[in-house]
Amino acid sequence: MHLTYHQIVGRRVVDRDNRPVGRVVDLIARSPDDRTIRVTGLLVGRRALIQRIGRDRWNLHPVVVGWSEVADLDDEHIRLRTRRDDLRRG
Amino acid sequence: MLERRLIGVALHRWGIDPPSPFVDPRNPYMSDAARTSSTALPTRHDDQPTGRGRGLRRLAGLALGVLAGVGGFVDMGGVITSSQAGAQFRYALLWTVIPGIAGFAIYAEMSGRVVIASGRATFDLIRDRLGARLSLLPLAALSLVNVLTLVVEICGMALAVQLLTRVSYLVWVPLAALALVLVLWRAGFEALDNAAALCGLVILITVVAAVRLHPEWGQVGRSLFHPSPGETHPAGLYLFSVVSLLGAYMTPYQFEFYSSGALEQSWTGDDLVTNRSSAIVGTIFGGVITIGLMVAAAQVLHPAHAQVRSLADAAKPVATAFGEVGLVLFGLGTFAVSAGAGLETALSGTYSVCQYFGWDWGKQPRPHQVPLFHLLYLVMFVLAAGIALTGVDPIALTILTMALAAVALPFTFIPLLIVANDRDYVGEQTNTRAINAVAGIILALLIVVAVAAVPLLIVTGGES
Amino acid sequence: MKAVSPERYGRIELGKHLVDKSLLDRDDLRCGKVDDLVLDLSDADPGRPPELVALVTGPLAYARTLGRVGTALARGIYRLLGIRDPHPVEVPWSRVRQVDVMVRLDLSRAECDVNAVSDTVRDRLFAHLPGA
Repeated sequence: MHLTYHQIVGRRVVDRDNRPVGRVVDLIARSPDDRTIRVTGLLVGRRALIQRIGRDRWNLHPVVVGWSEVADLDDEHIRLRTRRDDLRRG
Repeated sequence: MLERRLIGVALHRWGIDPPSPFVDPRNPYMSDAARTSSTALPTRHDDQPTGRGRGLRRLAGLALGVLAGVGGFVDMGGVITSSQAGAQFRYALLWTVIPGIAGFAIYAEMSGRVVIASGRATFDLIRDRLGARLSLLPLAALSLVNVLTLVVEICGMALAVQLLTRVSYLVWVPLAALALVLVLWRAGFEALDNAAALCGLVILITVVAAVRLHPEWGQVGRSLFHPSPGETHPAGLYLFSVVSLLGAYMTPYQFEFYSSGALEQSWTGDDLVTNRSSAIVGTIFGGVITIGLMVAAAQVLHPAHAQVRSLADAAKPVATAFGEVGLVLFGLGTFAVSAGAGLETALSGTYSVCQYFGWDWGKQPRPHQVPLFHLLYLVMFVLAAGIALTGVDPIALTILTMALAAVALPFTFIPLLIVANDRDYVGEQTNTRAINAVAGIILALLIVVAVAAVPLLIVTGGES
Repeated sequence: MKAVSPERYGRIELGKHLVDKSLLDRDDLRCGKVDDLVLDLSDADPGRPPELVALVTGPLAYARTLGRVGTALARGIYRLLGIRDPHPVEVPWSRVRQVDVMVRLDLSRAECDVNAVSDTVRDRLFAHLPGA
């Protein structure tokens, strides 16, 4: 299945219990080898947005959701398999 | 080609395997390819200026800045708003020239420095930094104000001809628009913009007129540095006038025009000094003319309780001082500064859109090489001439547009400030604290007056 | 030459480091902006991180990011220019040569087919104008 960047960015993220986590601000990717790029996580929420507009060195520790935590993608939401309180801050 | 190989060599030498094609974008000097390919046609960069060529180029650079200062600081908007301010408030609004000069110089220098340091155009950087959606806001604000400013400048040219020939300006509107289009289409821009700015210097007649009308210099000096409210007018009108004056001094098109011009002339690090000095010299020049306009109007129009309802009203002070000759010179000057500003506004509009979308841009290549660049200003001229031909009161529209320009300014200044403080783009050339402080004060002033302007526009209905 | 830091790109933020950058072809000519990215999500194993397979560019790709109104507007402009079958341009990730302050492609501009609009403007509108 093909997804586009803009289909993911801006979507609301909810946790396992349907509690809102925030909107997707950016996609984190890694390059396991020289050529391929894989999306490994999502930057979510207001802190991520402020840091994006502001500066890196503000270091606001935005919410980072690993791709493995994504349970389900539908047209409106991205549902996680974890609970909001267990999420990592970057 | 060479750069690619060199990067490869460097990586190999450091034993680093770059992950995928990603290379650090932080240091803008890293890749010369980044610089050369950032202007429209890379071929022009092959001729490195040396010796006399470089001196000439620097002179040309200085001229660009000075002309941007004069032709930007003083245009149809400046002529009308300054004359009106003098007529309504005598010297009470002279102080606005000081933040006007400071703001213009600071932001002009900043936009010049950003494109020199990064080798990339302003809106290219703004979209890169803020994303397509967020940066659409400054682009939309700038484009709207650009079209309206173009209406103002076309009307300025047409009204100037009306002043000299007594034939209605509506006849001259399409001709004025056509003349500007031809200049841009035939790439005669540089020569004609310079000619326009040179002819525009006859507007200095207002400064001579101001001196000849014997103002109270002591009071003029005090008013420049001591903001004082108007005595006889409601605060609403006074604040609204502050808004439109600031918008007239710092019209958004100027910064985009100035920085893109610097990029087209492929300025480099050496030109930073030129950038700084020309931004300052040009602005002070423009400031003096503005003071002349305001003081002359204060001497002639204010005592008679006259308002500026037409360009002929704005010409009265000069006509009083010099008679028919003064009137003719004022008309010529207004025509020239409006023509210059009209060209710059149209270019600014097409530059910003092209840069946002990553299209080819530049006024040197022929229209068939950069079709969208030329199409965009054609569309702008059609829109602007259409609006002017509806017969909307050009003087009221001028004042309203200048107020809108002030409202739009924060939308262009804030992204510029963000980019100018980002080492990823400008490397070592980030804003100093002093520049950020002054820029912040100007921005705060603008936001305060812009926020105040919206309700005031409704209360006063744009009439002054 | 000096500042190549893969450690910085141990983690890439796609929006920050790739989307909205300017595209240059192999002759350093402009090809628009990176308007969107195509990610391939494995149907068999949705938990597997999606792979970046292509960049998307062109007015339609841009308009799509602005929603339905944007798309309709872009299609309207295409119709006005008489361009049939407009489509966003996809550039496979394998044809991306380098990403720095720009995104450099291993293709020529003609191969990417990004010039539909500007070519049409040149051929249909400007062809009859003197001095173009």
